[in-house]
Amino acid sequence: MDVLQGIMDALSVSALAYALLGAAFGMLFGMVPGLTATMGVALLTPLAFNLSPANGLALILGVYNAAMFGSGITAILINTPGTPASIASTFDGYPLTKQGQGNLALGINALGGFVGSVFGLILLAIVAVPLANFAITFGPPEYFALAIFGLSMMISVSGKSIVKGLIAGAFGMLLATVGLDPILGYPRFTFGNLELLNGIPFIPIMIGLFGVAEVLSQIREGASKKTFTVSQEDGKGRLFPSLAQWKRLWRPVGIGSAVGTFIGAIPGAGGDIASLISWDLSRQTSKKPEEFGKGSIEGLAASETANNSVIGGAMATMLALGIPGDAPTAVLIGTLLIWGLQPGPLFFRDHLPLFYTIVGTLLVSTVFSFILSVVRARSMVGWLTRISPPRLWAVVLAACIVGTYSLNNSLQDVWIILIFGVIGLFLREFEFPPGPIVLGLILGPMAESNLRRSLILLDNNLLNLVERPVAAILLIAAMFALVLGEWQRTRSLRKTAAAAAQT
Amino acid sequence: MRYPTVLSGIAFALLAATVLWWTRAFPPGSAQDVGPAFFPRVLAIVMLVMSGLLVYLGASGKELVTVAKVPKAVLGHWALTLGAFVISVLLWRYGRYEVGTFLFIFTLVWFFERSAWWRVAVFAGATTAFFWLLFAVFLQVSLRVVG
Repeated sequence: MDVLQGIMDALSVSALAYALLGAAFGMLFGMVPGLTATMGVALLTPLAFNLSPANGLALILGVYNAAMFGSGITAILINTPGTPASIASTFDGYPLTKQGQGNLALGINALGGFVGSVFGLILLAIVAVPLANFAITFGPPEYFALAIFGLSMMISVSGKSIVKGLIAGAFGMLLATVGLDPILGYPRFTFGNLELLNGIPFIPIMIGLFGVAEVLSQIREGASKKTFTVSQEDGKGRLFPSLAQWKRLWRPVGIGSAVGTFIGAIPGAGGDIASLISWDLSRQTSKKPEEFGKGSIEGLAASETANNSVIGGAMATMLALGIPGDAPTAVLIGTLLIWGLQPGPLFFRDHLPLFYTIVGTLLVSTVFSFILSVVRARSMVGWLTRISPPRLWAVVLAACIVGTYSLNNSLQDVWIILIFGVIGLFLREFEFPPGPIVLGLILGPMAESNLRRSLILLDNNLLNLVERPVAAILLIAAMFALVLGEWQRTRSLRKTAAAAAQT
Repeated sequence: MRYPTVLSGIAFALLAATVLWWTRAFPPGSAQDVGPAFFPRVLAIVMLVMSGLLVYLGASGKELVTVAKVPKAVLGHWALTLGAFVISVLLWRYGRYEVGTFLFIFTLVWFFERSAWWRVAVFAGATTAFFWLLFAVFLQVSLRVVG
C-alpha cells in the first residue's frame, strides 16, 4: 500500500511536470562548465520549499539526476566536463567526437547513464529499508561513531590535504554549535541575536559556499575569455551502438553500475571518484585496453554509468543513515529538513510512502533525462556555449539573493550567503575543501548530542566504547580512512612534484 | 616558507583560540553531563592543533599543496561584485526589489562584458522581471521587505 501510494504521488501530473522542469534545469547545470549538480540543488531549494514535498522533491531530484547526464555531454563535445563527475568521460568521449563519432558518444552517455541510474535506484529500493532497520538498533555511541566515520571519509577523499580537511570539518561542526545546546538548551555563540537561537540556517550557508563562492571563483578564472567550439561535422552519425558494440559494452556498464553504487554509498565519495575508478577497472579487464584514452566506447560507458549509478548509493546512505553520500545529497538533507523530514532510520517508519515517492521520482527523472540527453543534447550545447559567462554570473548571483530571501522572507539570510560566499572563496583560494564544512554542519548536532549521551552511558569514559563493537569498528575505520587518505595523497603529490621537477 | 599556508593556519588558530576564550563563560558540566562548553572546546582544540601543524608545514616548506597568487585585477573584480551585491541588497531593503536587482545585474554584466548599455539594460530588465514573476507571482513570495 505504501509502495502504491508513493508511486502514485510520483506519477501525479504536477510531480511529472516538476520532474521535467527539474530535468531541464539539471541538464543546464550539468552542461554549463562551472555550474554543478550541488549548486543546482542548492539554488532550486528555495523554489522547492514553496511547493509540496512530492512536487518539490520532483524538482530537486530532477535537477540532481539530470545534472549527471548533462555533465557528460559537454565532456564529450567540447572536452570540458560540466561537473567534476565527468572528468573521466573526457578521456574517451572527446577523442570519439574528434574521430567523427560524437553522436555515438552521446548515445553511449545517455544509455550508460540510464542503465547506471536504474541499477542504483533498484539497489536503493532493495537495500535502504534493511539498512535502516539495522541502523535503528544503534544507540548513541554508534550514532556518534557513524558521524565521525562519515566526516572522516569525506575528509579523506576531498581536497589535497588531510590537515586542511580536518580543519574544515572542525569548522563546520563549530558552526553547528551556534544556537541552543542540544542537551541543556543553553544559548551558545548567539551574542543576544534571537534569530541565531535556532542555529545558523543551513540552506543559506550552502548557497553561499556553493553558489556565491563558485561565481567569485569563476570570476577569478576569467571564464569570459574561454571559447568553445562544438564540432558539427559528425552530427549525423549513428546515435546508438550496434549489436557488436553492445557486446563490448555489457562488461564496462556492469562495472560502472556496481562501482558507482558502492562508491556513492560511501559518505563523501561522489561521481568523480566513482567514474575514475570504474574507468580504470574497465581498462584493466578490457580485451582492448590500448584503446582507452584514445576513444574507447568501453571507457566512456564505464565512466558515465558509474557517474549516474552514484545517485542510488548516495541516496541509500542519506535516507537510511542520515549521512550524505555525496555533496548534492548533503544539500538535499537540508532541503528535506525544511519540510520537517529528518533522514535516518526513523524516516522509513514515519514516511515510508515518501521513500517510494523519492524512488519513483528518481526513475521518472531518469527517463526524462535520458530523453532530453538524446533529443536535445547537441543543440543545447551549441546554445549554452554562446551564453556569456558574465550574464551567467549575474543571473546565478541574483537567483542566490532572491531565492535565499524567499526561504524565510529574511534579509538576514541574504547577508549570511554573502558572508559564507566570502568564506567559501577564502577556503577555495587556500585549498581548503568545502565538503567537510557542509558535512560537519550536518553531522555536528548528531555527533554532539550522541557523544554526550554516550559519555553518560559509558561512565564518562570513551574507552568503554570497546564494549560496543559496531561503534568501535566505525571509529577504527574512520582513523584508518584518514591515515590511508593522507598516505595516498602524499604519494601522489610527491610523484607530481617529481614529474614537474624532471620536466 | 609557504606564506598562504602559514597565514591560513594562523587565521584558523586565532578562530580556535577565540572559541576557547568564549566558552569560558559557558556553565560548567556536572557528573551527569559534560556541559555545553565541552564539544566546542574539543573542536577548538582539534582546530588549534591542526592549525599549528599547518603553520609548521607551511613554515618548513613541507606542505606539498601550492596556493596560486591572486592578481590585483581579480581582487578588484571581486570587490566590485561584492560591492554591487551589498548595494543591491541595501537598495532592496530601503527601496524596491526591482531597483536593486536590475542595477545589480546591469552593473555586473556591463562591467565584465563591456557590450552596448541598452542590450545589457534589456537583459537586466528581462531577468529582473523573470525573477519577479517566478517568486512574487508564481510562488506568492512577498518581495517587499518589512521591518
